[in-house]
Amino acid sequence: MSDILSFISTDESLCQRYTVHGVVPTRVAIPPDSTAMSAVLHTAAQQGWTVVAWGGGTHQLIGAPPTQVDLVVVTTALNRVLQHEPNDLTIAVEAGMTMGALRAYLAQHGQMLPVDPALPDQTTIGGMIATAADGPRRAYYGILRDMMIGIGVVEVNGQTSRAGGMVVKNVSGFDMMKLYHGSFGTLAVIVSANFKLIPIPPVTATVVAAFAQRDHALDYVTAIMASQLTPVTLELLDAALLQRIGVAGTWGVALACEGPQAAVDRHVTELSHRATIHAGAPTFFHNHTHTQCWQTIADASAVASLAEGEMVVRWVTLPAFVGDVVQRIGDLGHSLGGNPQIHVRASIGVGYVRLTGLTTASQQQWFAALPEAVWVATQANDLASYWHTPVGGLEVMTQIRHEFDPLQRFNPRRFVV
Amino acid sequence: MQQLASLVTALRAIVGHDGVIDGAAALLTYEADGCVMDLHAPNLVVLPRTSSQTAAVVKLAVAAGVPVVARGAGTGLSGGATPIHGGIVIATTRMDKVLEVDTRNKRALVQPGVINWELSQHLANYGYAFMPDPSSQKACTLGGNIANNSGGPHCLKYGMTTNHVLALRTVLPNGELIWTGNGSVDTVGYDLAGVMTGSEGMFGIVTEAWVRMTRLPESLRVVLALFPDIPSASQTVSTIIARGLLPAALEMMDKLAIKAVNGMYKLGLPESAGSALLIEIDGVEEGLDDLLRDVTQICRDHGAIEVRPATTPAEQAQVWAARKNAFGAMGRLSPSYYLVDTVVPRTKLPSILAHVGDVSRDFHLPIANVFHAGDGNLHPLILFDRRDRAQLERALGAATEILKESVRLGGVVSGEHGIGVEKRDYMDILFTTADLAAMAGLRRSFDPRELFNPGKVFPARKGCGELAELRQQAITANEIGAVPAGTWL
Repeated sequence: MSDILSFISTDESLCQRYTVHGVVPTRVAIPPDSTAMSAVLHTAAQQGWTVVAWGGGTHQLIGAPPTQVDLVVVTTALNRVLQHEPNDLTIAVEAGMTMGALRAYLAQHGQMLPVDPALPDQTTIGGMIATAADGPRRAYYGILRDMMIGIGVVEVNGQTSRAGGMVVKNVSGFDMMKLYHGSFGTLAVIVSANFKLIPIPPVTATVVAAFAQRDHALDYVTAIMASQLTPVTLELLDAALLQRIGVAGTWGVALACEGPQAAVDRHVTELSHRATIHAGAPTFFHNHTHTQCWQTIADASAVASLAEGEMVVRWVTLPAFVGDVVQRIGDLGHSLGGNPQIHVRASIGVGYVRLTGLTTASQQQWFAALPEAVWVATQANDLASYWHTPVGGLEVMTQIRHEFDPLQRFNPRRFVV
Repeated sequence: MQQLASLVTALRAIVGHDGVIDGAAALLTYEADGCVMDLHAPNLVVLPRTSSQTAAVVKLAVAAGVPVVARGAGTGLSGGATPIHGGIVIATTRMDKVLEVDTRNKRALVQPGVINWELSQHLANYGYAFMPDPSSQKACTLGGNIANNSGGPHCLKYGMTTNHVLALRTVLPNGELIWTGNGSVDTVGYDLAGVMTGSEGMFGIVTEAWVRMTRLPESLRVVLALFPDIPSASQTVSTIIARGLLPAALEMMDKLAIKAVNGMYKLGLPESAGSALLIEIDGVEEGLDDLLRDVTQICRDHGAIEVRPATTPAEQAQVWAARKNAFGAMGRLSPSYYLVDTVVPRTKLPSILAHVGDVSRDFHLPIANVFHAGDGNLHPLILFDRRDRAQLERALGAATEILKESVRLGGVVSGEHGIGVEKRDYMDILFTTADLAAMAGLRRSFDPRELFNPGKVFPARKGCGELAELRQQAITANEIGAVPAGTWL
């Protein structure tokens, strides 16, 4: 017990650093490896502590605040590559590794895990899995849900278990990867994950089409979606975000292309030509400007630290309704305030709106007026609700929670169930 | 008997008289799917036409405590649709409509009895396809694809069924009918569609699904490369993947398979070839020939004796037909075959294929190889005569050896056919008790009474219910289970 306690600190300034949505934890543990993680969680179970898992702390403002946090368990010391056979294009990593570190490691081998989250040098693989993090290249590659081939967790009583494997096709047993993905720390602490990888494409380029009218931008998106072109991103940007990437316009559509030179050239030519057909003006980015552009766009959905009165909503709709939702957000901005900033992964239907200067009451009204909201992130700890009711299966979800965390000690009352 | 008779009456009130099969002879046709090792007839077969009929049927069944087993086309190879504890088979045959094609949002609404091939043929009219394309696609149904997270050759580039499911309408094991989402890509809460896909009929029965439609690529190239032996072809596969060239499909056939399909499809392939690779690449036209040249060069570098491009759609279709119907062509070589489904990391392909050769010699049975080489997903076909008991036993022994070696090399026990009955007792060479217990906990969340497809996936000697209960006890006692954690392979 004394060994384990040496990983668990009650130091006040340390605990302050790991404040969870306004609640300072009683203790913080930073276990050095997964065996210690298991021991810490076993101790937590025996002590009846409520537990919050913390990777980079970049998504802790999503969902409802905790009422009490007995222990924050930090995963960042679990940051090793466990297994990588480059010629297999698969990798196993510990969940406390940041996306930035993984990206740099894989680049040495000419490989990538093509998800571009906000704040990659802070956000961890485990956190990305738990919060279903996404990035602009979702349009072509998907998210970690689509790349994960195995997972290892520590359960609520300290028991370790795993699922999947190190092969890219596998139906041995149930798909636990899909269970833990997007489970927001309520079922287990993720300690490792395996992924299938992609080679870094030889050439990348970006076309940003700027439009004066939103409808033209949306028509352009529709046309690209119907074509046989395969850009890896299709982001609809408002004027503010356009400006941040150095392009003038009222609405913009940013498209990245990856692949062999000839294919990329074809894409750049045709995407910019089609933009002009829809009254758009193309700008091009390569190399450094391409990378910068996409990091700016990826960071636009960051929720790691929010000012008072600031709220970020991730919402989802069908691609055909993106225009309607964007219109409604604009209208709500006029009636409720908040100065909405919007960007949308337009071919997927997932978008983000960032609002500022809102009272709790206004935040509540915004949330109620956006039934498309998948999550909200805010400092406010007194919203009436932070999650819309799922379309179906709430009872089954409650059962699942009960099976995995019957005593409700992992992130209690912060999630839908 | 009384209970059965009143059940039949009640069921006929829901689905109509001809919606219930209760004659002994007819029931025998449902005693197995494509796995003929374990046979068991159901007590009844019910064929609903709608989601609400299905829900009503399930409610009746569970109220009576009767097991429920869903069945699509019965093409499954692991006994997933075999009612090994009897009960009611719900066949989806009469729910076979494509309800909506939504090109704007790249999704289609389908009933579970829609045949995979027919869906893609229909979507082709719009310029789309449903990308998961199992070899059995001319018969298998979407419901089965979802239950098994089916694969197929194009999964190398496009992913498996789970990457193409957006939302499921499903009758849960308590009879409740739910949608997991509204057909857009994200949902609030746990990913129910994600966990249900590949759950082998144990978490409910799907009555409708929103699935992804994928835009057909602008261009494609198909090439058949012939090699003197298996090692040269499998090295080629490893090199193609290692170089980061990702084809749309990369399939292998060995000498025996070539012989079988040659006779059937008159491909005129040299039967002196030790193996063949079928390679498809796709994308925009620009750059495709460069990619083809790179792939062809790798083939030649590894000793390809011939590289034949299939340039016209007709030629491409012929080559693909030969691959997809290869299993059926095996009848030319032997009365029966046992099809093994396993996956290894791609760098281990040469090793496992050499091992398969050793097993063939050691067990005195020919083994043909036709498989998804690009994914490392092997399908050794052990050829034997099931009328000879000794051969049957050798075939099972050979399969076990191959699976064990596959796991030893870092592989798994099923790539796409599922665990079903066939492989449930292999689950514990891959997973620890704790691993299986977590899956048992998930299953129990959906079906605490274990009425949906009982006897599948979990080892016979470690019952799911028992595993889940032990796990709950450990959790509520704040204790770690008695079995130590597994280690990564």
